[in-house]
Amino acid sequence: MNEERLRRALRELEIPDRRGAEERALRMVRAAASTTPAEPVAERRRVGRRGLQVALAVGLIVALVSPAGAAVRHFVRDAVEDGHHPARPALTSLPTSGRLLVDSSQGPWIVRADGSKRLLGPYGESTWSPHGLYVAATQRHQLVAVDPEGQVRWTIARPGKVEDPAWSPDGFRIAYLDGNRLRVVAGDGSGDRALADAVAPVGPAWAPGARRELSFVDSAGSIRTLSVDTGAELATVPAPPGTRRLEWSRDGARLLVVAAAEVQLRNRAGALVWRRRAPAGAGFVAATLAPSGREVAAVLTTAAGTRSELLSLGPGRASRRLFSGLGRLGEVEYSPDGRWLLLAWRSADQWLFLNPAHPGRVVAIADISAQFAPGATSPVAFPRAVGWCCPAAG
Amino acid sequence: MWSLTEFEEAGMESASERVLVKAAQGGSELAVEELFRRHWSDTHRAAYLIVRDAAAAEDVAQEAFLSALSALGRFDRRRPFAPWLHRITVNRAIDWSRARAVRREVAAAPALLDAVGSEPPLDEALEGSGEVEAALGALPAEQRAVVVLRYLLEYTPGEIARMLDLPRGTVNSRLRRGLDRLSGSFERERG
Repeated sequence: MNEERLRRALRELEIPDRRGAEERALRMVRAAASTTPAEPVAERRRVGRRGLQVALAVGLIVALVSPAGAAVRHFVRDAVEDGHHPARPALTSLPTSGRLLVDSSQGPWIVRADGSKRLLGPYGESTWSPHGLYVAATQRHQLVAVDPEGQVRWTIARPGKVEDPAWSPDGFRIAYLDGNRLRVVAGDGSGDRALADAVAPVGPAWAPGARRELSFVDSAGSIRTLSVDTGAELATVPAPPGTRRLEWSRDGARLLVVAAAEVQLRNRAGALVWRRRAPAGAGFVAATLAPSGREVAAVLTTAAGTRSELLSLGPGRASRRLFSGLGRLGEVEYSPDGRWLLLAWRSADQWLFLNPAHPGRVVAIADISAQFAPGATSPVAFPRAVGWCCPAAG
Repeated sequence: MWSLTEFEEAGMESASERVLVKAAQGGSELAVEELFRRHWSDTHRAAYLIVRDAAAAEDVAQEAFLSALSALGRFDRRRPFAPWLHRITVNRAIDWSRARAVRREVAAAPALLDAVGSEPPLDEALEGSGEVEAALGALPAEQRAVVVLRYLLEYTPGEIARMLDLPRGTVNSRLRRGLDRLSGSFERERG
């Protein structure tokens, strides 16, 4: 072992959400410091005991009411028991900051951290702009840009069915499918143009960065990455059969490929750097990358749909089961700060909020379908959380 | 000799650690913040390398700072602040790792997870730090702690022995075994 190599690796190892952790800790320390009484140095020993008691009390209170402190409080009793989560009857708040975008049978909803919701209109699929200032939504043959109050800013119409909008990380482009054609339009609705034909029905994924690179699956079974501005083909690799989702990591270093039989991570050049295969008789139905880009939350379901699990997977780390439930699970979304996962438990008509670091800490919300279809008199489709806005880097 | 006023007028960046501790004991929030800024990064990193869990590392490091702050009144400022803080942090991180090891892990139940393939990373250059992270993860928490104290925080084996209340021979043997196992992991990664 080269000791210098070890020193360097220890110093350079990337810590997920390092800056966020520092900011949160600084707030805690400031809060504790501001309530700790000053101690005359000459009386240090005598006053120190009283100061110690006060500061301990303050520190304890601050620690227990903070998210991180709550996590400490809970870490010794982590355990997931199938289906034994007393569900709250309504979504009264989100467990952390941010806003959720949810596609429902009535259209997209925005859910704020305090639990209040706003229906944007009678649209189909939707996606956030990178800073959550707008939402792009589909309406049969139209692509529509609306603000979070639901006011329409622009629309464009296409002959094919418009699906799978994706707003570029710089905010200046929106990619979408027009039938089996991939198109790109500017963020103000101008300059709509075709980028590729014969595209598979899989949502395109923008690579973070200034170069506007877009990955998609073509009908020949390839994952292709193009420069949107120049049209240059940057990478073309075989897509695993049944590829259903592409997602770039926030740092643009890894592309997550989700297929029924496996999940993969590929690098910028398209090379396969890691994969996990589903066991026989089961398949991946959803997966998403943690903000760190080094961990994948993946939903695995038996072929008969009788049992599902949420797994934490990733290169160089032990696989963990975060949740197991009867029936079918659906999509999984990370909170902007990466500390919570929203997991759709379709068979139970519930959403689960899980802290991936402490899997036993589950907040279950019941009757999700009805909450996103007020007034509905017949059964409605289970809504789909499509984005938890917005990552700091977004 | 610095007074609180002199410290705040002169600026915190130029203050020695002893002055900062004195000012913090006197109630200076600026001094507390400066101590935080000087020591958070190493403390957080050490916690992360030992517990290998971002949220837990944040908790551990944050709790260590709060604990140190609450005990500042009885801290002897003739001693350096960092080893005291690092001792609190590392011991908390070891405690956390032990608690995780003994509590009922959901991953222990046989289910779909067990049947998921377990191929190693296909790209050797996946991420250099990922190799180290994985190799460190294979060590017991107590060995990780001495490796982190020695090679990240640069304490001598004697200092580590005092911080962890261990015989120096135990520290040396844990360091040697830790390095041997890390070397083995690196060799296997290289194939």
